[in-house]
Amino acid sequence: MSSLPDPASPRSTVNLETLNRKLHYYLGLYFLFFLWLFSFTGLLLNHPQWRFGEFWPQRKEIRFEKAIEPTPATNDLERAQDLMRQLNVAGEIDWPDRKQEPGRLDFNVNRPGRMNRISADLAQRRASVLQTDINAWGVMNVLHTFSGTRANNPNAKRDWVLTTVWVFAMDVLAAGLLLMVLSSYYMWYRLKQKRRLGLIALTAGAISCGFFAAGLAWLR
Amino acid sequence: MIFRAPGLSPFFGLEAVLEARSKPESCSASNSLKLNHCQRVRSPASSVGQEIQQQPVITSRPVPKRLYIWTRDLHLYLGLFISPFVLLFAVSVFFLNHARTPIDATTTTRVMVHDLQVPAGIAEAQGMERVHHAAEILAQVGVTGEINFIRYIPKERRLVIPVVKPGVETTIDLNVEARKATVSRRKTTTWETLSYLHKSPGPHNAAIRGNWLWTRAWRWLADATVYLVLFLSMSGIYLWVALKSERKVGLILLIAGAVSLGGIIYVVIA
Repeated sequence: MSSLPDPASPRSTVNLETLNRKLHYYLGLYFLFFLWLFSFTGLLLNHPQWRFGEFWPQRKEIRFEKAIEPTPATNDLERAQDLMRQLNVAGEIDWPDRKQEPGRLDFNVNRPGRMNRISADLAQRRASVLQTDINAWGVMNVLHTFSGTRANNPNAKRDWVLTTVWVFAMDVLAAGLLLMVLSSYYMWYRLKQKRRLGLIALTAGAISCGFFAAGLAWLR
Repeated sequence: MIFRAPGLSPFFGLEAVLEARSKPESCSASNSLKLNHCQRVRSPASSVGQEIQQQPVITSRPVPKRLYIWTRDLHLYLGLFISPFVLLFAVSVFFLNHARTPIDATTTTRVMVHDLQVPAGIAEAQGMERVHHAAEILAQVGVTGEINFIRYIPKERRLVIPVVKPGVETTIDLNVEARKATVSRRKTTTWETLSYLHKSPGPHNAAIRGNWLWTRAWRWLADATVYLVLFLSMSGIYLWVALKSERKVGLILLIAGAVSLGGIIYVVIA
């Protein structure tokens, strides 16, 4: 994109333009594959009817039982973590909506590509695990939404360090995109000849996006 | 000033035009980027030191030059058009990743509607047929939006129909026998609205999804956002490669990004 500074511009403006332009394409290049991953998985999520992206019918399930040692933990989270260690299972804990029955501990442990449904009978010292593996399409789908939290569920908290790492990557990508958009506005603003057409394009985008974000609530 | 492009090159010699070492003096302000594709030419008015216009350097190959300019302009205008959508998707990520907001029941309003015309067979119908029947109820109670799902409770002869649209969540609790319904309406917060749009239409209840015109329109726009972002990234690569002096740093960042993504995914799934 051409945005050669006006020679009459102060040196600081020239430097800002250069920095801004570099920021724009350096961020774009660093986040390129992140952006492609989330763009593509976004399409997959919006089109579940696309046969090539199916993963649930192709899942592989294994069920096994194992004896467990009594756990000294005092709360459900610690009990679950101790059980996971004994069962050699890692991932983000997903608690069921219902309350735990006395003497039992039922929960899911998920990571992109593998889900484990764990049902433990603490009194009998037995745990059964239903392990479900999904294919690469499924892994990509899960990566798009893997945050360890659920909207409107204050109890859903991240408890796996790698979920936090992945969420951090998603946050950084989002922040990078915001910076890229803002830097593009500045570059466009500095192109006097492109301002009018650019304003038309930006206004058209803002109106159509704003209609969905704010206008539909008023639609009868 | 004219720079000759060399013979064989992935950019048809364009980079030579952009990268020519013998920069015209008028382009010296951009020498940190070594970007010479726009030679500053004084317009007639500028002869008295006024307006300076940007003029692309004329090359011996007009097609690559035109391709470059078209790509650059499309990158700019399509990017500006789609930028509000990109902002929406980016901003809502923070809410989706971090917010834990229990539903505030105090913001819900409830209205009872009587004497409804309940379509015959609404309880037994399935899939889109049931949605069409439910849409008749929606019209009678003055609710618009996407029917999220329909749950029938046979014991109580009740139908629960959650209806969503950006900014408003409505639940219609219909008593089929008594032909009356309780309509609960809740205004969602801006964050919830943006998150809803981010996730809409999504993979759930695919058989009935898009039962509202504006959900179908949003699906089209969300898809368009993805396709345009892909175009912007491809055209961005083209524009970057044309900047020869930025290739090394850019390549390092590109590889760093790929390695970071691959590394994180590997440790998460391995």
